[in-house]
Amino acid sequence: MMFNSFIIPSFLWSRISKLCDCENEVAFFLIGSTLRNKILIYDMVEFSYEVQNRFSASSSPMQKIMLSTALLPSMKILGILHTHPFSIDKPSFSDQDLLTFHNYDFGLFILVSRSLDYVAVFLERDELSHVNLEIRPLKPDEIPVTLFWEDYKFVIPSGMSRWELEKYAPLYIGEILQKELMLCRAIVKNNRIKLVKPIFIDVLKKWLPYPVLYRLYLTEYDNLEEAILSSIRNIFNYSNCRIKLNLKERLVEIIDCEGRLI
Amino acid sequence: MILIKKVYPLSSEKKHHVEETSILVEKEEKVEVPEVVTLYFQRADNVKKTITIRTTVSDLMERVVALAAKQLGIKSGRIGVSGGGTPINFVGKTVGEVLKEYNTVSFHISSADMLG
Repeated sequence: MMFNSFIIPSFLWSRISKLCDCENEVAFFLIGSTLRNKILIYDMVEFSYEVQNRFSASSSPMQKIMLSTALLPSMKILGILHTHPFSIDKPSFSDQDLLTFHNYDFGLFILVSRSLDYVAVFLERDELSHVNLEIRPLKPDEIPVTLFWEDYKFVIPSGMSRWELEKYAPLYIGEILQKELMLCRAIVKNNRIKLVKPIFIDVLKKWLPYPVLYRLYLTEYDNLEEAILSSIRNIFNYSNCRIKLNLKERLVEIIDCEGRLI
Repeated sequence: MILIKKVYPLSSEKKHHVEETSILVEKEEKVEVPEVVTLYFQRADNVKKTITIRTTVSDLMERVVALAAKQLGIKSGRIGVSGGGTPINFVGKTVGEVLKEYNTVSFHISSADMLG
């Protein structure tokens, strides 16, 4: 197995522990990066549920599209964590289906029971392995940092070597340009093509102990703040949150979101 | 001809953008969508996975999306599609209707994750 270290920061785990008492299943996309043999979870985004009850939970495909678009290069949906409010602590048939459907090329799937026992399965190259999680504070080389290139930002583990950065940076740039080109509009006039790039603003969750940025692409809007809040609602499932806008930096900070833990 | 003004307060070239948007709308209303089109589908969670499908404007978009999902290795039943950052409602519509309504030939596609 290429990855043998699966790290969840202890502050995230302590927040999960408070959700295990929920009557219904709760589920999160695991967001993070990889550093050599390590899977590093930096953040979790709760499903915008299409179905949520004691026995099942289903995400909205549109949320996954918008979340994937909002992720900066090197950040990925690394898997899913969900809880079982009843005592069964093994994957259900639906959970197994998710893994065998191969919607994920690789991924970490964590099931947490009410008593905080967990089952973690890692899918890689069509092989499933049971793995142990490392629940602890991030080490200095695992903490995410932000790199800048023109208008673009990259969130990477600080332990990436200069060699790695120089080799991977062009690929990260290619990835974000490819993503953005899908959102561009072209205007052809007098045999010239002009690309109208999408409007973006970066988002930071203020309560995370390190900077994990997301990029919101905004389509047509009349009111900027409403458009941002709507995107935040669609991507992060925060129905009510306070934000602080910094237009000069093209940054919006999510200050809090009414009792939500993650 | 209807000119739609869109507001881009973040843009440094605000006026310029509004002008260009108007030109775009004007042009699009005069140009007919061709009978045969090539649609680009990209997996939202993996931009390296992109496919193209050539189809006709009278084809059902549901059929094309199902084909794209299959080719992109998405096997889940619940599929979502966005174009130009906007959710696409394609159920019961032809390809031509979707192209006219959403004004794009490139789409992101993803599935729902079902857990039990």
